[in-house]
Amino acid sequence: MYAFLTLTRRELTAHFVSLTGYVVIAGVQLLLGQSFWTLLDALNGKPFDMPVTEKFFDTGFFWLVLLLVAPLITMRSYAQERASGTFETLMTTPIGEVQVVLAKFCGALAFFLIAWLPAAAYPFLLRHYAEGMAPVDAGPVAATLLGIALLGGFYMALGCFASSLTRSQIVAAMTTFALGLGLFLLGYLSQLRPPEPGWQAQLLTHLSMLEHMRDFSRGVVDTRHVFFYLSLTAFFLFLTLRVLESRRWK
Amino acid sequence: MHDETKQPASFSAGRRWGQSLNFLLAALAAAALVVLANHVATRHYTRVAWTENADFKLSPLTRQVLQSLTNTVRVVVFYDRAESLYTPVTALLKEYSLANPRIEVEVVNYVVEPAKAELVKARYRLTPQARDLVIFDANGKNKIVTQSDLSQYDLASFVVGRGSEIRRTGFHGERLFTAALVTVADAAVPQAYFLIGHGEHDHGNSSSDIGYGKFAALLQDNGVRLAPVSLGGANEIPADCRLLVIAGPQVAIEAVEQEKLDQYLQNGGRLLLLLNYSSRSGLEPLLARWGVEVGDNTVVDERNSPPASGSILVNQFDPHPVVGPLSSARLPLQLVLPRSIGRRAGHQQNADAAKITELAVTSEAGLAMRRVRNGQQNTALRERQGVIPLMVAAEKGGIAGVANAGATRIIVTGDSYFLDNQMIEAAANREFAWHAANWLLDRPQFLGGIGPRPVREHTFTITDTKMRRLFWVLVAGIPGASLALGFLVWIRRQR
Repeated sequence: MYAFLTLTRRELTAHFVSLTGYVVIAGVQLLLGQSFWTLLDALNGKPFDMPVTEKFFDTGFFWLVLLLVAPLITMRSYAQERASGTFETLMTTPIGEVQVVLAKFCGALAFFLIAWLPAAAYPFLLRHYAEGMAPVDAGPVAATLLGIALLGGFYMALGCFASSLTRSQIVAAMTTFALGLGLFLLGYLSQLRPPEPGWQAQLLTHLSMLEHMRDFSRGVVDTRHVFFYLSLTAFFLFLTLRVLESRRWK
Repeated sequence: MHDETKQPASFSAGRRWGQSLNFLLAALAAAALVVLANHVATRHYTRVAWTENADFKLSPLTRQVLQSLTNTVRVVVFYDRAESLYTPVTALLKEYSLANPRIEVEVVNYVVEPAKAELVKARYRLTPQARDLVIFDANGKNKIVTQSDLSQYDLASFVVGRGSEIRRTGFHGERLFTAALVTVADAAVPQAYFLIGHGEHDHGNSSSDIGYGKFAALLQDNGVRLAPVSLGGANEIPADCRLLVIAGPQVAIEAVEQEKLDQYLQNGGRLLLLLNYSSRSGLEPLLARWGVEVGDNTVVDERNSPPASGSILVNQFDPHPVVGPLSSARLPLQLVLPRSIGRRAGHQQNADAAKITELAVTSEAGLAMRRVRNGQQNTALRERQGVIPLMVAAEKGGIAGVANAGATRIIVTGDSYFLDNQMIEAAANREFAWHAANWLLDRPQFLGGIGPRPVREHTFTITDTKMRRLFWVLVAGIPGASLALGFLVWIRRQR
């Protein structure tokens, strides 16, 4: 456990010892802040049918940031270790591969959450500046954060897997982006052109991240969504573990 | 630098292929496990609301209806995504399909899918102009809910001039969707009869102002089968009659017919009797036995009469399933020169007697004028002044909420013109007709048991100055703080 915590701390602090981590956080906050402000500017003084926060997570801005930031955080996880030659050193230390995989994942997820955390203040900022706003309902904010954490977990696991496949950070980032975008588009296209009712429609609805996030931002926690992300996260972490194990027979 | 690619392989090619296969199989097994686990998770799930304002919760009545569904119901959402009701409609139907997977929802956006839209129009015989509606289809029956039915508007403020626009205050989706489900999924179709032969409004006439074609269409849309019935000669009220409508009789109903009516009511019949200021039904004695008093007068209400309209707006209702939804939504009825219909003086409200509810009354400025023939002229005399009842509901026997349990139900109104082709769309007359018919047919799922969901209008105002300040906080402040911290760390590490 101690080794796991040490490794996690190492992964997390690696983001903060150089300027890169801060630039990523600043970039995420710049994009989120700009898009939130644009939305506020468009809705200011006009009646609309859902809370601003719910509307925000229903826009493309949120997904754009999510899809872009995941590869940036995870691309270095294993690829950089391989490229710099520290991978073998890490894997030959008396630490289990499971611990390595979990530590890298937890470090990436913790950094992802830190990068997103300031966004939790948006509803309160809006309440502070706007007139005629109802008090902030903490439930949907908490559910939204849970949704972001689950989505983040899934994308971090996906990114770790992609990073474990290659020594090139660019390739790792591109793979993560392509896989993440593909899964996102699957749900998006099903909304754009809904299929005929049947098992295909049910499957696409189950895969639709837009639908999941819509529920979370309304304050609805559905165990199916939670299970979906947890199971996919576990699946990609398992694949990452198998990829790491494969070094033994190369 | 260490270079893995130049190192000779430690294992033979066959061994490596075997390991690759092993990896592939493990990945496939894990994927299968994930699929199976998700499949189980979709069948056993919980939805928890972390908010007080959860609008996804279905009413117990809807849940009951959904649980009782055994056939597949296809729901076609024929909508433009840009319509404001698209989101609440699809969100609500999603909850329906989650509660029962037999509800299969198909969304057809007629704007971007014209070919598919044409197929839907052809299949359901929609007009070329049809748009923004929800179609329920099962058992060869279909029921269409239009966008105009789905909204509840605050008309009262507009009518009295307090507001400059009609605001949407409620969303009737759940009530209408549940009713539509019952209509298409229920194999039994209730039968209603219109009494003829006494100068009643013609339920087959949709063109004349005083015809009842629109009212008949409303009943048919409600899943009710209609037929005329005459009680002359040896004719009886058919045994399958679930509702008898007597709409504005102009000549007296003969004694022998009244006996048949009385017998029908004694056996738990359901009657909607619509009288008007000129009706001569001769049913007063029969109604008196049920505790209903029919006034021979015309009621006016100066406080609630639109100028030069000859009608009165009625907005005072007693608590009752028929008018409760109108009362809660502040929707008025618009009646045309009604006569007073109230509880008979001295009527006992005990267990053996019919329970009489005066559904709607005038304001305190109500005035009942009796027509008196004075030689060659009719003279109007003041009969009474104050709050005057205009319609009643009578109920006797049976078990509340249990259909066909022998309960007699009667609604008597002092006006029949308010439901004719000209007036049925005025104020909330249509809603009244809907609720009255469904209360008489004992279909609580069609009544106000499922109230409208409030339409929450979100709005905020930020002044230009504060907007600029917010811009700097969001776009410069928070990201800038992160960058500044990064520079501090960087400078410190440089030392």
